[in-house]
Amino acid sequence: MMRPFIAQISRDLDIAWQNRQDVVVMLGFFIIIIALFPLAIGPQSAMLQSLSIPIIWIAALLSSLTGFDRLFAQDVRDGWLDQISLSALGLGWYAVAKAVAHWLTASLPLLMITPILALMLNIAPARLPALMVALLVGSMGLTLLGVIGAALAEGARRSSALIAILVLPLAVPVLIFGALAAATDDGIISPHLMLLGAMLALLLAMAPLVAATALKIGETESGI
Amino acid sequence: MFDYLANPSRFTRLSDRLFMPISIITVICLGAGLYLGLFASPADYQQGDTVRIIYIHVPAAWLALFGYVGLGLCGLFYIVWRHPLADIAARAIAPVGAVFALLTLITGALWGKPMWGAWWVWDARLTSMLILFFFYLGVIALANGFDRPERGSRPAALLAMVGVINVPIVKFSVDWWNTLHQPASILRSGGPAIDSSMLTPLVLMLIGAHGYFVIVVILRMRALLAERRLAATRLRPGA
Amino acid sequence: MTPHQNNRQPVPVTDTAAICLQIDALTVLRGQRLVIDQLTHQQKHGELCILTGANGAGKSTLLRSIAGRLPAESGHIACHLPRIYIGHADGLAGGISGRKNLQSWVAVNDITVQGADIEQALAGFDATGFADMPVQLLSRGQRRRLALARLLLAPSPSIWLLDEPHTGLDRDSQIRLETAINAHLEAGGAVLAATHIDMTASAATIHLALGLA
Repeated sequence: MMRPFIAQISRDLDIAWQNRQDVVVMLGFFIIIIALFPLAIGPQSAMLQSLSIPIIWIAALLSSLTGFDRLFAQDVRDGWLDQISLSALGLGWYAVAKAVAHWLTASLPLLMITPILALMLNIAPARLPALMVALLVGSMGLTLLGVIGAALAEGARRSSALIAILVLPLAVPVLIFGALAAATDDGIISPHLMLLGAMLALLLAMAPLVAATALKIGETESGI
Repeated sequence: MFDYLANPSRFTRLSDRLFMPISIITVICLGAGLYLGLFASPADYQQGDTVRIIYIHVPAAWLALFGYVGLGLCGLFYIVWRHPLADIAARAIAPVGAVFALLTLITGALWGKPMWGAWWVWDARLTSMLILFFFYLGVIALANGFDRPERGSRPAALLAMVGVINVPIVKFSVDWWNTLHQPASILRSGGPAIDSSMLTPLVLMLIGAHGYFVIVVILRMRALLAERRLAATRLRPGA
Repeated sequence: MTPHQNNRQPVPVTDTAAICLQIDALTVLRGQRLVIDQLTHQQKHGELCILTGANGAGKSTLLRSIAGRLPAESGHIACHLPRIYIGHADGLAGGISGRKNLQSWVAVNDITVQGADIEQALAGFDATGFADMPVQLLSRGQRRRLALARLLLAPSPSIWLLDEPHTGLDRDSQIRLETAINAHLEAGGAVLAATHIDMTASAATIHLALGLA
């Protein structure tokens, strides 16, 4: 399974590399959302200080949603999904490989510029490690949720809005515990982080199953 | 029993026979419950007459949850056993459950205003119900989000199953969130204990609301079945 | 049918007259529309079956059902060989080259290849010249040739499910395809193809007409 799994990931990375400018768009979205909050709240306000971590979480959540509607669409249209369903990889592992590739191309860049943005929002440097670890675990969970949403909404009319409606309510627990884990005084490995990890484990078990069941039936090659 | 009901015409006959008895029970229970609840039962010593809204709020909340679990079960039957009526039942239940969820939120707000002075409070139960309402919207949007209507049945069934698993998780996290961010206790909805004079109308309303739910779902299922039969005759060449 | 039935130990064909594909009373719906009605069909190793029928008769539906992409309303499909499916879409990602596409296809199917195998497959359809260009820049026929090159990398024996394989092919490529099919049939594989082209197959050819008459 390793060889097919790695092959699918590197295929997606290859394809993403051809469109590497898309990452800049997504990062821009992330930064702009974060910049809007001080503009709306006021630069010196104490409110901004206490809202800074939630702001980063929500911005990460919203900008990670971009691109999920296209996650499977191209593979369906190309007929690649048909090949996968007949392959040694199988649809379940394929979904996990998609999640990994998406995380590497979307969430990882976000994580890399988060320290800069945290400083922009006056988050104390001491809080940074907890924030980064929480975002690391949380972003993986959110990616798996996005894969579930993308698989369910594949072929739908307004799939990007639909995926948002599906994913955001399911993401509430991740958001709640992610924000708590990032802001906690209990150190990096807090109980909140462990709950976040438990949710990640649950999603890791659910996502391939749900995605494989959702993608199993390929009505036509255009996916409609 | 479920295999027996798989045949749509058998379902129609069975629901025909059950319809009148259930309707009668529903009307009696709702009537008695509303009368006792709104007029004959005592007002709460703290909350006054506003407490009477629990006779609608609690059954609505219960049925919103019950409806979603039913939705998840329909999803299971559709995906695993490909039960023919599971999809029809799910499409019938979803809007009804969503309306009950909305009713819970509205009655919660109406109750909250005189109680806490605000039209909306982010307490754990109302927030969980709000998220449940979003879950309902998601299933409805997904089931109807495809150009070919039947294409949405399968993803909606899967989503309902995923949602049912997530309902306890969401409830847990919202409860946690609530206690951490609002250490001051809000008055527990329903009061410290339920007196028997309040229990009777509440139980009556619960039974009546269940009956109402079943009636409406049966009606919707029959309408959906008729719709499908009509659509099928239009598609079949010649026949 | 086992899930990883594309695994690469070539199944020794003991009896060339053995049945490799069995379809019993297959009924397939598309939405509410009945497309395949109680179809029964058998195919042996070394047989070429040509699907005929008007547009909308259900040729693509049948191929996709055998490929496992469509559920059967009733009936049963039993396939004893690994399935290689080439549908209307080529199964190629536009942003990367043909060579890379073939490499990733081989890898996700866990096919053991030596270094020269992919080159041979490309040469088999005379695709070496444009194998390094991004697929989206190629013509319809060129993409088709890359897609068909996969057939030369597939394990043997297997059953080939081909949906309009000749689309966009020039005469030379059509001949190459028929050569490949003949070699495949002789090695004990089977082919089920929906096509309007009159294929000159050396092995046994049967026809399956679809459509609600």
